[in-house]
This record gives sequence, structure tokens and C-alpha cells, in this order.
Amino acid sequence: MTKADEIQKYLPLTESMFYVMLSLVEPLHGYGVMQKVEVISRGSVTIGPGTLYGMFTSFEEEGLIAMVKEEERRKSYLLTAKGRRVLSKQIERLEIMNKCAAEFKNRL
Amino acid sequence: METDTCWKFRWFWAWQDDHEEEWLGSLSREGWHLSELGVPGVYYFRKGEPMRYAYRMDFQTSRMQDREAYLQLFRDAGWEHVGKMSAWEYFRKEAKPGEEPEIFTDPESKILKYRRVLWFLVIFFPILFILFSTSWRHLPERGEIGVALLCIAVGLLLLYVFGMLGILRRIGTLKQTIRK
Repeated sequence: MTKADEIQKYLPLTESMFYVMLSLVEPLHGYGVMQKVEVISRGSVTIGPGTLYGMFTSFEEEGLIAMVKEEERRKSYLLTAKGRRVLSKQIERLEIMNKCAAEFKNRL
Repeated sequence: METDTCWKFRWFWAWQDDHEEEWLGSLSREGWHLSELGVPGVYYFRKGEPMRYAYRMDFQTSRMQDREAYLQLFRDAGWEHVGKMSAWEYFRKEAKPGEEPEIFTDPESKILKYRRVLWFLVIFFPILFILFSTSWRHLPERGEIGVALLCIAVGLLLLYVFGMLGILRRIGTLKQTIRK
């Protein structure tokens, strides 16, 4: 599998995945991610603990995030280089969509 | 002064976890709060003030390496861990009228939960099949007891298949809610 394919298989990210990955551009623990997603998504996306735990597990298995520290039973995670590449690709896609939306907005 | 306690037996299929959650919630609204979980199907309750609780369950096998971090995440999010029944973890959170707190906020993670149940149950199929084939093969020798054993084996197999199909159907329904 080429490097491009490796990234491509994760795209498009679901809304929840997108916001969780965005939150992990800097180290953050579980509940911190839940709060951050609520804020940056302007309340449009909420992540439950069951969903988040599953995401952390699979993202870590796939090498998209890595645990950076554990304090008082709270694990903090950070995006890996691979995770950053996936997120960048997703943002590229969203930028294209955004451009189209702006172009067509007047015609609606 | 002794608190009122009681226990109930009730069987829920894995794909009826939402009914189970609703049942526990309605009991809390009457003041009977889940206090402990026993062997599969047995629930212990303690009497208290009527409360609006949302009960939610997760299925996690013992392959989960970091149960402490798992529970802490739920605790941070405001969920109280009530107990564990087999591999089912029970949580509750106070809910104001109109609120529906959820531990799974997208269909993908709900599907993963049911998949975990399927993988857990897959182990039992060879056991049940061996039970069935041995009781079938030894049928002529054992007479009435043999027939009874065979019926039990068939019964268990049918229940097993019914359970698995129910879970698969639930997964199918959830998959349809995913917009691609």
C-alpha cells in the first residue's frame, strides 16, 4: 500500500472523528476532548464516553494517535505524524467543499 | 434504620438493551434504584427518592486493558458506574426533563458494541454444536434421558441462533441510519 492509499482509507472522516482528531493536535485527555469538541463544533457535535473510548482504542491501534501521558487514571493522547497527514487531507477536502459552497450560495 | 431493598429477575436479549435501559429508568422514577447486578438476569434495587435517571450499558470483554481509565472517562463525563453483569457495564446519569444523555453518540460506535457481543458469543457455537452432535449420536443408547438431552441441546441451539439473528438485525437497522 502506498503512503497515499494509507491515508486515503481513513477518508472521509465522520464528523465525530474529525472533531476528535482536531482536538488532539495538542495533548489532551478524554474528558478534555469531549469538552473541546462541544466548543469548537459550536455545540453541533457531542461525543459520548462510550463512543470516545472506542475511537481512542481504534485510533491508537491504527497509529493515528499516541498516548503521551497518564495521570490519575486519565490518559492523554496526541496526533501522530500519520494522524496529522490524515487530518490535513480531510481539511483539503473540506476546503474544496467550502469553495464550492461559497460559489453556489448566491444561486440558491 | 433498614433501607428497603428488593431484587428482580428479568431476561433481556442483547439487542434489547434499550428496553432494559428504559425499564431501569422507569423503576428509578418510582424510587427503585439499581444498586447491584447479580448473575445474568438478576437485578438488585434500593428504595429512595424518585429520580430521573438515564441508564446506559456498554459491552466490554475482559480484553479491555485499561478499565480504570475507561471508568474514569465515564466518571468525568458525569456517569455513575452502577455495576457489571457478565461483560455488560451499567452506567447512570441524572437527566433533566427533555434531556437524553447518551454514552454512544453515533451509530458507528453502537454497531461496534453489538459486534463485540457477536464476537463474544461466537465462542459458544462450537460448544453448543458439540453438545448437540454428541446427544444426537448417543440417542439410541440412552432412551428417554437421551431424548431429553437432545431436546435441551436443540433448544439451546435455537435460542442461540435466535439471539445472534436478533443482534445482526439490530446492526442492520443501525447501518441504515448511517448517511454516506
